[in-house]
Amino acid sequence: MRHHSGLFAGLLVAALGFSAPAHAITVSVLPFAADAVPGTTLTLELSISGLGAQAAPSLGAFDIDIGFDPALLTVTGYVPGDGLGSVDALEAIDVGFGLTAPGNFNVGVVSILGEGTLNAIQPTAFVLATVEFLVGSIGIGETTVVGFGTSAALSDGFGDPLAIDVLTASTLTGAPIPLPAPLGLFLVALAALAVFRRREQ
Amino acid sequence: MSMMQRTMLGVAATAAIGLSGCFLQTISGATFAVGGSLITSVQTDSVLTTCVQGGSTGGNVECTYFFTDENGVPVDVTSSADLISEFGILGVVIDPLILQVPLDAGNVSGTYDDGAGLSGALDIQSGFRSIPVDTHRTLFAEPGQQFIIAELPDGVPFDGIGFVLSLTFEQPGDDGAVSVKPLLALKYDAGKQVFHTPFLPCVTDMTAVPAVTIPTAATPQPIPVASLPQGCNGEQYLLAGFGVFACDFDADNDVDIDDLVLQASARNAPALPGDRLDNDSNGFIDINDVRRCALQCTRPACATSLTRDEGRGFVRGERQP
Repeated sequence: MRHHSGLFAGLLVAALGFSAPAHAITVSVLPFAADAVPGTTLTLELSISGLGAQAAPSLGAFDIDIGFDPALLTVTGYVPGDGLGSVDALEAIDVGFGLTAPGNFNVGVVSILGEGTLNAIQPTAFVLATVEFLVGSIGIGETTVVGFGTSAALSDGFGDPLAIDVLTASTLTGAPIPLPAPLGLFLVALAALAVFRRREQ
Repeated sequence: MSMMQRTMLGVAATAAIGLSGCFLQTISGATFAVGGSLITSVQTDSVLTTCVQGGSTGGNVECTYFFTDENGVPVDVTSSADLISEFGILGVVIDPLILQVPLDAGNVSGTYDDGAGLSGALDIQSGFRSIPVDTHRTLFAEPGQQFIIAELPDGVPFDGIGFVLSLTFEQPGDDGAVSVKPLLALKYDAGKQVFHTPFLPCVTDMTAVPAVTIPTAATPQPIPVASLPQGCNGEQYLLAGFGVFACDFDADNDVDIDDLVLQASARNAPALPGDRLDNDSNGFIDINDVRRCALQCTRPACATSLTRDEGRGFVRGERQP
């Protein structure tokens, strides 16, 4: 059974009234809209904005479930960003659980760096993680949403909760499979040959 | 989505309640042997518990509680009930059953029945991914698993009574057999802290607990509780009086990445009172607790001894799978 976008409608949440407060912490799956071609991979970014510019509040850790339709998408890769320090350099720890249930992929990073260092290195917005999906058999024009799963939590530099003001999801639309370039050239040549022969006759 | 209901019989209550025991003793700086096991001296006024007569007979652990009286003279008792009645140990509750089940198990309930008219609902807590064992160790659920704690309600008489415990939980889907891991522990409730010291089997690592496969069945399935060959011989549970790093969860006297990884593996779950993983003491282990502990690392860059040869840079990186 396919789960259509309506299932995820509730995941697009705008909290705290009609207008976001100053320094509104926004977590987004980007791009907001993209074509999804069956059989291809699609890379989406989990991003945050609204932090202080080289100032508090900084982000000390995050723990976010990404929700998607498992009938249409499969997670094939995941790379945490460097905004909380480099995982490879052990400035941060990748604590993501990964796929915890069909259609629920957990990503999480905890920084080892001090609050002052985080303030110094973090811009107001940066990529938390990139997630790569394999697109399944989505119909042309069919839409599906990659949004948020069962939980999303942020921690500031001191380990206190950092409220998320806005969550925005990404809407994917099924697109036709493009013809490979060599095949296109072959068809053009075939057409030209047909025209040439007709003229000869 | 369909729900599969699983019901299982708990262990015979004689194993869970009457004949179990552990070595509980106030150490006053001496070193002496009891029951064939050497007890290493520890700090004055601390409390130590260990099973010194591990082994099992017919599924029952043959342990004895030992105490020192006010004059420092060793005294022994043979059951938790005696422990309470003779020494008035506040809050020592009789031997809960801990069951590790899949994380998606829900609607947990349970009953006790002595077969002679004494029956009722068990007190059930579920959703735990960590259980404090003693002042410096924690029992962690394996990946994708959670703990259920089942115990007799307050006021139910238990001394010398055998109960059959029955637990039921539901899982989404219909995936056939499921593996669970049972163990019995002594519960030590010190008010702000609650410890569960495993004794049947007497291990603090769930990978060492034998799994029991529960088939899909309409009738309750028995769950035997295993006793490992080494019993509890030599095991020591430290219940008070020991200063440890608040975020040292692997009991190696430092706070490093290994501790944070352990803590993170148990997050998004409720915490028992006094669980050190719940660093902000809000009753729930989450990413904020892990970040707080990251700020308490005692090693340079929070590196483990395997990941950094101190002062000479990183040797080998470690990452969560």
